[in-house]
Amino acid sequence: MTYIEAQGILNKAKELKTEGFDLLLSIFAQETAENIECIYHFCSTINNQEIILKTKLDKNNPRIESISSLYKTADWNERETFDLFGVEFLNHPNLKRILLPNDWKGHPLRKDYKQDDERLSWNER
Amino acid sequence: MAINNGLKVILTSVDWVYNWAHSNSLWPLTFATSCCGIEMISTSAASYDIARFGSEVFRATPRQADLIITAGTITHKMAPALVRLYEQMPEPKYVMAMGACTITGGMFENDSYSVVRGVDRLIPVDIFIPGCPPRPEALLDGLIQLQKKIRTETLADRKKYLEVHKPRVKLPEDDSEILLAVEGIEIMQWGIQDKALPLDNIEMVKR
Amino acid sequence: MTTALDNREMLINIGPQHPSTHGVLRLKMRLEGEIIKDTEPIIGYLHRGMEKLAESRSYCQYLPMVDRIDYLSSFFNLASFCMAVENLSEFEVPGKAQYIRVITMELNRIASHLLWLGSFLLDMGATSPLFYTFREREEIIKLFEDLAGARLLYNYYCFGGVKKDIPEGWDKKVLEVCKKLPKYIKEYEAIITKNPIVLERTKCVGVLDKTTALSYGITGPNLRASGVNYDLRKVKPYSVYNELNFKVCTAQNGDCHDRYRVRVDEMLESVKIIEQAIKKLPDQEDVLFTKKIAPAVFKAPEGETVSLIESPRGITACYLTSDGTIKPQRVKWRTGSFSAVQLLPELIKNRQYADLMPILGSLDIVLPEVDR
Repeated sequence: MTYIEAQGILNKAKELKTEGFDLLLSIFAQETAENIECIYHFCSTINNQEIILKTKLDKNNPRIESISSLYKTADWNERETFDLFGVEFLNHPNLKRILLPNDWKGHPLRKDYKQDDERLSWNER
Repeated sequence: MAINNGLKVILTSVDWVYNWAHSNSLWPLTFATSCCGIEMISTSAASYDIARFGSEVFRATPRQADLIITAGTITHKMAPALVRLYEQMPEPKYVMAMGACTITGGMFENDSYSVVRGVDRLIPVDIFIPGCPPRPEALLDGLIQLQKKIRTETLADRKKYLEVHKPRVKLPEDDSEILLAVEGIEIMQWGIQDKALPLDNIEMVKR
Repeated sequence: MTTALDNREMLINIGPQHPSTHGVLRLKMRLEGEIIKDTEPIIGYLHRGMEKLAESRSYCQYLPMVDRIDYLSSFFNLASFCMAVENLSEFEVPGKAQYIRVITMELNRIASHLLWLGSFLLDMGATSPLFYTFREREEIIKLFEDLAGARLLYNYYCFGGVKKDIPEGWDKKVLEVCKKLPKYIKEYEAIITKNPIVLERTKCVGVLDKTTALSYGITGPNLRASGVNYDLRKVKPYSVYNELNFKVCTAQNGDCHDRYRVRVDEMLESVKIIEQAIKKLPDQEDVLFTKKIAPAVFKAPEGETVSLIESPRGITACYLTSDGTIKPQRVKWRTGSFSAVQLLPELIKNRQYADLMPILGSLDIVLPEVDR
């Protein structure tokens, strides 16, 4: 597991791809007390190695460069992270909600998420 | 003999024949969202053989089905689709809520942000089958209970029944994907009703 | 997608309620005559918020929920989560429990592939294979029922082992089923493998090459059918797979027929693994878990971990972050089907509409796993 700067993710991903890390297993985010961490898990089918990259993003305005131009699978993984965590991926081809309805309010996996949508009052416990 | 009386006698026999035929050839809709769906397939496969009860004809379109078995969790995104499917089914139609998720929300009831807490908040339910997932035998039992229920109905009462058989939520008119509640119809809550007969249900909802 | 419609094209919507989408997948397609020009899969119809729910439950409370992520291979999800917790708490799983885990997982793999086989052919219009495969699946399910008491969702593993011992004579029953299975599978081969209609509809349909597969993050049988020899059981052996002798099934063409072949071969291979594991199963040893844990106060030590598992649908990974309290801080599931759905538009582009169902079926997607 290595920490890298958020700006360097695209270059690092390019580097990894040339080194033989051909399989991107997943991209996800997690929230710590200070910031949001975006985590990338790369895997190599050739020499059987794994690497996990971690980037720290600002909690109020999480933004990071998209790597969907390098790995196709990043597209949906980034959309999912955007949907559930609100991380904005720059230069993403189609950044919109994927799992939740289009007009959902908020990003549920944030720790401070509270469901207070009036439209859903009929579903209260 | 008064005409009224005579009419009644004829109607009851018609009722009986109608209900007998109807209850023994319920065509379910293949509506399987999650785990319960697999048990539903198991029930229709060779070892449990739902064909013994005349319900083996799983229809892929709601326009040909008269029973919807909601097998699996319903989420907010799926809810409009479910309501639309239900509205497309021809009368008389019945709903079977299979599994804990469709009864109360099951293990997601407490704190899930996206699960509908029971399909009876969306559409009226005739039979609840508990279990997570229910065994095939439980589904067969539910089917038998539904057949029993159908046999107690009369054609004359069906009109009253229709009133209750309306969805409890509104389909969105714009491109929103979230359902809104219909005013005036109260959502059935657990533990209020004591009888499962359809006429009693009507009374309860009016109250 | 709607804007770029010229007058020879039409939009078609499939799902979310559709008998052949294996759940609640919705596809928006742009067709020109019979040719699929563009597809947009819409998922999330079964998004139950599994990852969020983990944050408000203790470790033991979350354990039964893990089953529901992929109900066709719930032992794999359980193993994945248990292994993540074991990594953190440094529990050593005793030998007998390891072997029971391997046996149950491989049986589950067969059951999952059998269901896939039935529904794959059902998608292509053949109804009877479903009844055949369910006959065998029912036998495996009965074994699981004897073992765990449930037909579909077992909740049988616990942190550091398994919950209870195998019932008496269970291993013999497993061997009996193992003896029957190859015979049954040969029966399918007679019906399916050389069937001209099946061949016509699956050969050279939905060809997936190596680089595309890897770029889309495809794993499991779908990747191996494209000629990549990558099986976590071999390259990163977890549990006791390094003590067992088996081969990784691969194929070269990457079309629907190869994906079918790989899965059928995998079933036969799993039978071999089970037979070996039963032979090696420690006899009198009664230790089934490292230590008894108190469910209400069990705390995993602070840290982050990941556990990777080769499930029937690809690599299932459980990323677990713990802050030392009784509840996990973050749980993330990586599943094979999620990538497979993303691949679908690529595979069916410029193909006939009739090819959609064999391709979708051969990818073996399970929607709860996609949406979680």
